[in-house]
Amino acid sequence: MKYSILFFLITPLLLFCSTPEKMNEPISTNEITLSEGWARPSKSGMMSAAYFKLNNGTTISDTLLSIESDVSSNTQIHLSFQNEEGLMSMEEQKYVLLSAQSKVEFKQGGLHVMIIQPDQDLIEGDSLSLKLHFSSSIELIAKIPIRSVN
Amino acid sequence: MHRLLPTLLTFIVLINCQSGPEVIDDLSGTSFSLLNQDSVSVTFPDDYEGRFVVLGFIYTNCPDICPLITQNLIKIQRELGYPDDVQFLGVTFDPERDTPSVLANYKEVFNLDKNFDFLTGEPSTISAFMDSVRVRSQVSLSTTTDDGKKLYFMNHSDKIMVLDKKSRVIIEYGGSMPQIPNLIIEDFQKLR
Repeated sequence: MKYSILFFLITPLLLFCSTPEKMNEPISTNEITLSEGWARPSKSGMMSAAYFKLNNGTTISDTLLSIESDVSSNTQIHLSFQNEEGLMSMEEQKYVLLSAQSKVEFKQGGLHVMIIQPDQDLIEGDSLSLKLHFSSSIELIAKIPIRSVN
Repeated sequence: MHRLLPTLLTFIVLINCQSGPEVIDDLSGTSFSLLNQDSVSVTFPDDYEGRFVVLGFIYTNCPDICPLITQNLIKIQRELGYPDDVQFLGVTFDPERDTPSVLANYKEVFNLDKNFDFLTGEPSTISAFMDSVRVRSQVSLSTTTDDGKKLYFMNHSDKIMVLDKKSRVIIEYGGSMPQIPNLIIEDFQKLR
């Protein structure tokens, strides 16, 4: 009985003392999250693009393999860059590596999700869904707003 | 010689006062028959003489860079306070697909109105026009959509230029970088 009382008194103290060490460790959310997503308005049959930030809070690397959208049957991941001739160019990305505890940003002028010929008008204020497929078989579904940046 | 010196100095000062902006290119001798997004015929640059022209080059199937160029044109127009004497233009280098009605949709998506037009034309005319403004484009990637339609993308120059009221190019910058609007506005306000 004496030992039990001692255990219950000491254990919280030990836990409290160990907290500062844990604060310096990387924060693991144990999940891959998508934030700050948005897509550009467009008309049916034209072109749009989606942008967002991906955060891999896990301790394991993962690879983004493809993205689906509920507004188009054709979505591709591309990277914009300036080629050796000084022309603006794009290259399809068959995958995007997401290292453990790292972030990847899809942003204008860089990585982007091409939403090819959406089957409906993408109107500012509405939203669309993206489904991201990872090599770990994780599927991340996100609803992002349609907005302009004018 | 000493007696000539004041005359020489006065001459140099007068020349500097009258020099105005550096002219990068003079388009006043060119003439291109184009169509705007409403299928109205436009003769470039003649129809815009007497106004400044801020000009960008785009194609509407471009998912990323051309919308950035368009956004920068919009920002310049807004920051300048929508001036009546400045015409904003987006000219397509993909006239096969960018017909007036497609450009009208593109204009509507960006919610543009006064003094902002998109231009297209016959492919041979557009090709000559792009040569005159030193804008290059070439088909790069092509892909086939699920419904069997072939879709292509283009490598292209990234440029915004400003013409003075005499159709002379006085400012030329890259078109898509985020700092471009501020640079153009700063230069434009000095030269105006």
